[in-house]
Amino acid sequence: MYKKLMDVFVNSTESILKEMADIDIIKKSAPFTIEEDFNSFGVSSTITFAGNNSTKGRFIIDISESLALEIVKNILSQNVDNIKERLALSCISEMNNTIAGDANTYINNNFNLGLRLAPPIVFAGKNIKVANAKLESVNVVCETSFGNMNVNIGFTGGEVI
Amino acid sequence: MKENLTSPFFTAVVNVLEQIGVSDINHENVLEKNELVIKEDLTAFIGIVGDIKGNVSYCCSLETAKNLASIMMMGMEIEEIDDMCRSALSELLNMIAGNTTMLFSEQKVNLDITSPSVVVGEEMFFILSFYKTISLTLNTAIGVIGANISLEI
Amino acid sequence: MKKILIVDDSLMIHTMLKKTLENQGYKVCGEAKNGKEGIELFESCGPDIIFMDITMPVMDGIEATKIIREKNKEVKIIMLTAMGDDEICCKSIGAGVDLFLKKPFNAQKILNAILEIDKVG
Repeated sequence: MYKKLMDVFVNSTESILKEMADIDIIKKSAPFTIEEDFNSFGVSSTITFAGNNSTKGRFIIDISESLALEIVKNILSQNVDNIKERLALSCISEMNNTIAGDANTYINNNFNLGLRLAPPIVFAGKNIKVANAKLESVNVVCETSFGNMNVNIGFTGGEVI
Repeated sequence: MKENLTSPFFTAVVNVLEQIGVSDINHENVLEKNELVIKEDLTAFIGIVGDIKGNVSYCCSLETAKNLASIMMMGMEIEEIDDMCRSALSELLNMIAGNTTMLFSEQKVNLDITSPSVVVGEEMFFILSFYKTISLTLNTAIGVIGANISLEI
Repeated sequence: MKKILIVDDSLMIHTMLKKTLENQGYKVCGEAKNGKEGIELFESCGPDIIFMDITMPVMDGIEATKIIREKNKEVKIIMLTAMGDDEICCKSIGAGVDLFLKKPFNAQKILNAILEIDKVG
């Protein structure tokens, strides 16, 4: 069900990561389904959404700390050594917002899902797990020179596309 | 933020906690904050879209989370935050979300609740919003639960 | 001894139902986490009673109920509902549900549901 949507999100992630933080994705895994709770790399931003036909879901960009610091450093053009800080996490949040907005414009123009996005949430910590009941979740792992990133989408309800 | 928009979120969490058997629920005054950073180890959140847009979160310590899961599981002892515990907390959050939807539909406010998420970790630094947030602290027999609402109108 | 199939995407619900039912001597013959798996297990384990959740990924409970009813009119189906499911409840009645069990439920409510179901036609 998710291949087309996952392609859209991964493409948006790749182009915006380059545009905003000047970082290239050097390798991408094939999409795979995650049945159990989602394990975070350490820094995560989630945007949840609702759409037509009781469609609900969420989009996560999930980043290792080293990659997150590099992203923030490039966006702010200054050295950052602590990701657990309001300004640093606001960069990650903003990047997620831009990616999701970009992906959703394409999705709403090409598929009749009518997705409406809530504002992003952002968090950092250790051994983080995200539990989303009632969701089927699909993940792509993206590698960069500075660390890895998960692009993860989950949906429930709605039509199969 | 208008009270008719924020109070259903607070009412729903109290309703559901009472329904599952949590006792001695009382709350401190509602506080308005400019932005919100949560450092509790467990945060459950739901997004809001429609006439109003934003996020609502409920947070607590891991001890309180285990107590809540135990009540959900008919008194079963919960020793760690494992799959079962997270599943119980997701069910609880779904119930709160359902109750909230019902309260808003009675008010005829046009909004949709998005996918509920339960986030657990250690040394958490969680930013619900960079904008104005209304917070309520609930004291209960099984621990303290925070309810935070951040809406863009 | 009645055979029971549990169809729900929540690990917690599976644990609660299984524990309560097995304590009372019922046999849980299958556990599915979505409607599609539920149909497959229905065919392989032949339950007398199905506990069916409504909202599940891949295939929901109403769809699964409709498909199972087309194959079998006798099996008893108890639909598990949460607050806010009222509109969906009406569609469920059309699909062929015998009884609704509202969350949160406890051991007593689960057992009452089984007793009630035995009375239903």
